[in-house]
Amino acid sequence: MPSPFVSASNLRKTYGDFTALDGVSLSMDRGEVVAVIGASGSGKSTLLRCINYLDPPDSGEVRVDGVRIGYGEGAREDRALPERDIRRQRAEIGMVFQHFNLFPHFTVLQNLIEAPMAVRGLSRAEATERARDLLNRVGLSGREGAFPAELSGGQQQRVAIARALCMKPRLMLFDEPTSALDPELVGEVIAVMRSLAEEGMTMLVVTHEMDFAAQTASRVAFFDAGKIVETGPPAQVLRSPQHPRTQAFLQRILRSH
Amino acid sequence: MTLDFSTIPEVWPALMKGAGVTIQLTLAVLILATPGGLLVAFLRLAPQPWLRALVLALSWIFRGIPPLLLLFFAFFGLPIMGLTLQPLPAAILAMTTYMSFYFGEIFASGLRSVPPGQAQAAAALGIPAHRTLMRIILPQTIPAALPPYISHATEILKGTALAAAVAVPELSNAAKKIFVVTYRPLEVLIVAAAIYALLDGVLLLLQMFGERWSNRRRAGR
Repeated sequence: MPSPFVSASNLRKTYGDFTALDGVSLSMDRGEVVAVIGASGSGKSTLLRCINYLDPPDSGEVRVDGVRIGYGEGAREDRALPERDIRRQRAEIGMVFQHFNLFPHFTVLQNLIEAPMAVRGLSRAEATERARDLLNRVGLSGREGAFPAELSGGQQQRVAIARALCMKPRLMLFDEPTSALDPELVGEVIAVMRSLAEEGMTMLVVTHEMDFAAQTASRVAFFDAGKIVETGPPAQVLRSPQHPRTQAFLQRILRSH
Repeated sequence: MTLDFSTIPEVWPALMKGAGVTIQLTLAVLILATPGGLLVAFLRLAPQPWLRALVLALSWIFRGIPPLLLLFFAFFGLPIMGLTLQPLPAAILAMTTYMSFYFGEIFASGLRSVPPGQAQAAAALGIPAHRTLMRIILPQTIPAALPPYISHATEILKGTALAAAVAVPELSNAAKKIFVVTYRPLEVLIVAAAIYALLDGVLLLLQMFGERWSNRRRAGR
């Protein structure tokens, strides 16, 4: 049996007395889109940050395309890597943040080409070509000279997605990408994510957008109190949830919509 | 009372020489205390609590002592410990030390003003830590840090007058040496003050250009 493209096994993470991840395991096939839903503060974001080791887990292991994140390769797999080397592994994993986290003193173009030049060693011309291509894909060609503050939230988040894609990542992590947006701007970001999913990108998406989870995700994982309590196809988890916590959560969501 | 500036052309070269030393001293302290301040700032934000506490204590000591006393330590105290310095190096050492701690506070609050999401975004993209600091973090501290930085640079300029106490031939010292001979202190002091004001103006111009530059590149969050 081939090993999954992404596997997180038994991840644990505590902050003082608070247990953010209480033994979380999750595996994803190549090209799969997994939506992680659940109440705020249930540890969903921590899961993403442990997968790319932005916040290393206390225990457990993460593998992406066979490589154990945070550790050496092959015979040196038991050796924890220093932050410098983890950064190199992280370059293969794109991340999109709730608050975009664009570099405000850089133009849109500079935001996109900084990492490809610094990490991938691309020339400015190569990086610029790649960046223009991606800006075109997220519907922002022509805005490359703008500063982030001159863009709407939806445009900023699309730039942030393009910035992550500029590294040609093998996995994309989305941390509530539409939660900071005005409702009328959510659609444009969802559309970009949907087309990315259709192109076969492997995506792990923490979201409150039930429409996205229902229509685009191949699987939905319901997260509660540091654990994945239920996972399955969207129709099953969203329409006929088995776990009482999932049922209660979805009822709350339905009532507020 | 009448002012008589007729002796000024005669003493002008001596004043200019003093102004030259003042500029030298100011620039030396600025150039050394700026990286010194960055070092202090990083230590003030270090993850190790004991290191933060140590630097905070040093900062309290060095910013609490009168600069004149530090100058005396450097010039009269260090020789007893086996390090004899000429007046100018002693003045540079004393002023660099205490200005590093002032700059350290400015830079530390500048660094604290950059949202943590910036470093996280850079780390998520795999950008190396040193490049993140130089290209992402430090440039964003400039709008907040520049005005207090320049106003402290002005303090350095004025503070160089203290070096007269250990016989550094800077502008104030030169002025004093002149008027004890010419018996016209008022005129010489007015001219010296004008020179200080002029140098100060240069720093203010730098601040204006700097602010305009950072405003042009500035943005929201």
